[in-house]
Amino acid sequence: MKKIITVFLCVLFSLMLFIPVNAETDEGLPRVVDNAGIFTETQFEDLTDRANTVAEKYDIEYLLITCDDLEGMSAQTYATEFPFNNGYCEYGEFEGVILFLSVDPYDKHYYTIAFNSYQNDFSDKVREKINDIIYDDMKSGDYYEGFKQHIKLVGQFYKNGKKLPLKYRIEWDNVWIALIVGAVVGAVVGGMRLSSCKKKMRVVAPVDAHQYLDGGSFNLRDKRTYYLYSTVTKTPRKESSGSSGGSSSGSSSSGSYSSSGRSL
Amino acid sequence: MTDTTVSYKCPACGSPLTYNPNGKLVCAACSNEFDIEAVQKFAEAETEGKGFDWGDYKKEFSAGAEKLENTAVYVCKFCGAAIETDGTAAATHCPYCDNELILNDQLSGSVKPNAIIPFEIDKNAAMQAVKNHFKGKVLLPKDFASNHKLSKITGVYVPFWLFDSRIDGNANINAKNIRYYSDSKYNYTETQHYLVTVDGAMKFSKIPVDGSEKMDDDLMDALEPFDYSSLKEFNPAFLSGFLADRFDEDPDESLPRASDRMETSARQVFLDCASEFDTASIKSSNFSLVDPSVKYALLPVYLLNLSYKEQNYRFAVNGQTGKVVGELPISKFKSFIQFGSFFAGAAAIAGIIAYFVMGW
Repeated sequence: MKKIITVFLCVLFSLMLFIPVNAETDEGLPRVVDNAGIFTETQFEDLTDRANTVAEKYDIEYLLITCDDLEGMSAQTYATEFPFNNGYCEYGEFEGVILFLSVDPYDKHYYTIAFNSYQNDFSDKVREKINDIIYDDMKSGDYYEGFKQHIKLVGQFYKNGKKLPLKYRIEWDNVWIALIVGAVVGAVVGGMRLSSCKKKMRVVAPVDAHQYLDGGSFNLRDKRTYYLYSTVTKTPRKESSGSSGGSSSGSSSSGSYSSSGRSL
Repeated sequence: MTDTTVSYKCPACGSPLTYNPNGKLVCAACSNEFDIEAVQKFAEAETEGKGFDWGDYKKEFSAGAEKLENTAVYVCKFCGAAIETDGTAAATHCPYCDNELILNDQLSGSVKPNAIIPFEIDKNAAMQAVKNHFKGKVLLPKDFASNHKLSKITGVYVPFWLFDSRIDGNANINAKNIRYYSDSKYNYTETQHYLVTVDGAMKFSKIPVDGSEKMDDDLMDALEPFDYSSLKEFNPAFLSGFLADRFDEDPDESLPRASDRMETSARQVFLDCASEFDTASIKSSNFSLVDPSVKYALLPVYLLNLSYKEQNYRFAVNGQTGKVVGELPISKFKSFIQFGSFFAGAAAIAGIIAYFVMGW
């Protein structure tokens, strides 16, 4: 009996060796590439797990890349050439979507880029929407959060049947603020209602004698207006939030692409 | 040696002004320039404003006027109210404190009024008006509305002083116009300050103030308005079937209430003269009385006293228009329900909107 159990466990263990580990693309290359070294080991592993989960679940090619040295290229060019230059595809044949972040002081940008057939699903509107949602995190330097959110949004997009709208993540800070705002507004409205009801229960005496003013009896004998002085105050205008973004399309070594990016 | 120096203060910041050869007064602190006439007027306005002056107060009503005869006077042994009737009304309880009245034929009749507004609604209509007054009051305790004794409502002619006067006066008004504009870098707010002086006169007629110490002044004021087209010369026949109260506050005691109301209205009328400005407020004002007079009149009021949880609640019904006034008790439980339901609804809606707005 013991022998049977031992053999069974060995066979089971052997079978487990053939279960694919979701850490790499079909080409065996990493799905998350942190060339800029901005993520900690824990963050890197978490992003890799999340990205792989989404990629396998929806059977998509999905890369997330950071870079701190564009080697003289623009961020968009570097991003669109990256898949071919790093062995993710044959010439012009990359099929997938990537999030690319450049922290190179020469050109700080992030892009969501769809290649070849993925351009049909990730339209300008979709890419812009994703970029909008993660903008605050990326602008403030919280790249881990921004990348995490990007992965979540790509997953939501496929879960929605490749349609907008994309659901916002729950911002717990915003929840607390919303609760406080709700409580204050509720207290004001509740107080106004109670005050209005109580007013009807009281005696309200008139304080003026308007109704006893003889109609037409007012005689304005003199009125003079003197200009005294003027004051001018000025306040700076707020800059509109969100740096200008833009969409573009073209062709690269990795294939035809449609790109939406934001400056940081 | 007499000091003949004259100094003016800056209307904007209060610093001393100096004369500039360009003909204007200049403030070194805030760099504003002013016309001389405007500054002089501003300075005068600072010292004006003595308030309301009644001047020589003239009474048409005289304390030695004709007295009422052939009346029965009932006295309340608890509150001291002296209720008068021509003898046809059965005065069994005091309309003020609801206690028993006793007939006292030792008291003489009161002074004859100048005028009276006869009752135009009967007792049943008054009771119905009170019932209608209770409806729709969401905070009213349920048992208050159901446990009432409306039949005790009593019609009483309440003594009022009716004040007439012409008001002469002037006012200095601080007025502003505000303009907003912007360029690519800044938003600007320009405020222009003006002084407006107004001089005029207006007439007030028959401002009523009750002459009974036992009547709550706010309650009687809240019964207004009375339609004075029904005001008639006094005739004892109008008292038939009703009670009449005597005045125990002479016109001088009632005068401040009338003058306060006249002043409030006069200030508003003058303020409306600066309506072309964005904002305006009275800086100072002076009023004086011209040809004031007062008449003594009896006005019709139904009175009702209700007890609830050891507290007395008095209601008054305008015996001409049927308007009902009176403080009502408030249920704490119903107050909580009203506040809570609106709080919950508004908080939920506001919270959800706030969350999604922050998420944009």
